[in-house]
Amino acid sequence: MRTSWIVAASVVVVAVVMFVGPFERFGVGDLNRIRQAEAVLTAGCVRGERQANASVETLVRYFGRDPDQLLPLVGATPPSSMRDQLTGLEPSLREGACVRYPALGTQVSEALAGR
Amino acid sequence: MSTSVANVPGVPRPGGPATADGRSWRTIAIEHIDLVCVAIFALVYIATRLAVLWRFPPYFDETFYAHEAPIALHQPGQRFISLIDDKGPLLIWLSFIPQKLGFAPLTSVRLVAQAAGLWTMVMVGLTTRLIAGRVAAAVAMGLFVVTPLWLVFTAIGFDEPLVAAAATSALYLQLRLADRPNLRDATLLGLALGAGLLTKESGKLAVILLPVSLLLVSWERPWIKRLATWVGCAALALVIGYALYSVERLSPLYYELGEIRRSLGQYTPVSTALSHIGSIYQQNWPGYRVELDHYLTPTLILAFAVGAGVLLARRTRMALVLLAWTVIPLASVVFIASRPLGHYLVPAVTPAFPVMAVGLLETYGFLSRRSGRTRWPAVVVAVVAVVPSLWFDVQFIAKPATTKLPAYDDRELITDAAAGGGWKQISEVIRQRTVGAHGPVTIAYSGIITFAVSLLLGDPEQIRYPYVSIASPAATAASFVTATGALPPACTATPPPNDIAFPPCSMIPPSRLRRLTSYQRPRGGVVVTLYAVSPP
Repeated sequence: MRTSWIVAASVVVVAVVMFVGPFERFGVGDLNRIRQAEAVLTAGCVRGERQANASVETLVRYFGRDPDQLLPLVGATPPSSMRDQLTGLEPSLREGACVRYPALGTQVSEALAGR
Repeated sequence: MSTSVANVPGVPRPGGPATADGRSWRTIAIEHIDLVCVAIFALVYIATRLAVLWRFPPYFDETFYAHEAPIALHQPGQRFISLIDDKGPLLIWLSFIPQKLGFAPLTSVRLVAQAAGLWTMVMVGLTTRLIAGRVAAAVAMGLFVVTPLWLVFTAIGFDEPLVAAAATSALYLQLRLADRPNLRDATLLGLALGAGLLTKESGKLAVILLPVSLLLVSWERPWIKRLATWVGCAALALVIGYALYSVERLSPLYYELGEIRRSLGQYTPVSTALSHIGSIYQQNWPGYRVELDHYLTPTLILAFAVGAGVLLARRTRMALVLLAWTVIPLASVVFIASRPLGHYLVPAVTPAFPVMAVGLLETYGFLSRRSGRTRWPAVVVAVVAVVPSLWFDVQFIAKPATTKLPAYDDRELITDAAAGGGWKQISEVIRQRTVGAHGPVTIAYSGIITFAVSLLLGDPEQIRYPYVSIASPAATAASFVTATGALPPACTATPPPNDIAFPPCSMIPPSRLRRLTSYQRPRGGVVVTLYAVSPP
């Protein structure tokens, strides 16, 4: 009887961890989009203004919303909107964007995770 | 410690046609079931791995190792070249054997990974025999051979099969040492630990887990003497392992490993992982969970759960050791690896095979006791256990270049820039167009650098086919351009060398490029293109 209970408990624990995914806020598809956006933004940041403009559109496509709407998610208020930073209207803001966006995916996922 | 076949519930009693000495072939086969199974499973293992050895598209990481392998072989000063990528030298060193036998570098690193898998299969069998007897050992080896995890990741020349081979050997020897400490096992354990340390950072886990085997040391009198002997043997093993690892100190690169590690960012530092445990879990676990569900299959995960429960109830200390060897490496992978890629799981979940085998045998015993029969429960358990794995295996062996892999692995290994689809076709076109060419033929690359083209052209050291960035001045002499994705705009100034912040650009004007062939990677993946460069 004791063995049966332990086996049953073990099956329940493993099944929940492996098939239910406890405490997961979003799935592989969402994470894939975040990572792709992160990669695109990093590349856009390195390449400069023209690609950064394209990155805004890419970000909209990946997340299905305007990048500015992501700001509450990342829990930060930059000196200008994310779109302005990305398009690099001012060199100082562009510099900020280049520091900021390589970590965007992490910030978004952290924010979605409730940190 | 081992269980005889006759004691395993539900195993049919020997019988059948007799041989000259009165014993049946079946009796003899069951008496030597471990040897019979090793032979059969080894044949199946070799056949299935050979089926994909030359057919999986060359993935970026393995092409990098294969690029290093002949350099390390031919230049004694470059024996530790793998340290520039924060990898130990063992994979490259072992690849010297197949290279000397005439195999190409890429095939050589893959053969090392496959041989490591075969070694791991035997060690899984020995470990399981120690825990649950010979029938369980045969079941564990069978599961090992068919599991997609070990099929996919021995098709590629990764370090992880080698880490798993060393770790599984260390687990087996640590179990033996805890049962009966002796110098021979201590020495072999030291060699296994050293092999792991010389392969990759994850080889350290077998060292960290050494104290866990203390759970199995008997506390009956004279426990002080037994414990002292174990401590002495463990210390000897650690000294041998560290001595082997210290070979890396012969390389100047060893003293730069800290800086190399920081610049590569392949691992999350433990302090960061502990302070961001929630967000790292959110980023990595969903991917790993999907990968485990596909590579191990749900039925084997449930078999693991049953086996863990049975062992916890009946052999608690052994169960705790095996769970530690599964859970701690898995947790390390989830929290320390920077990306959730399937091959990191290979060493982490290999110690789970003995537990799965126990779970399946227990399920079989339960069904046969309930039904009063032995045959159909065996068939049911076998079918449920292996059919999902076999279904994946058949698809993968049929189409290794395009089969959909789970979670991030599909992007990483099949569809994205680091994958290898298309390079074979492109290399073939270059080969055909350069037959009889005198002097070096320069190839420029746009997008991700790949060593696959050089390897497939039989020029891993890039002497006959120099491979240069399209943004470098040397690109102006190129005859071909390989492009991953779109071509960059023409350069308006000469880019500074090695300046990754400089906007990507092409030193070859687009008007000089003529498209020869393209390959669209599956599921809307990256397009790789070959261009011919016309004279200015």
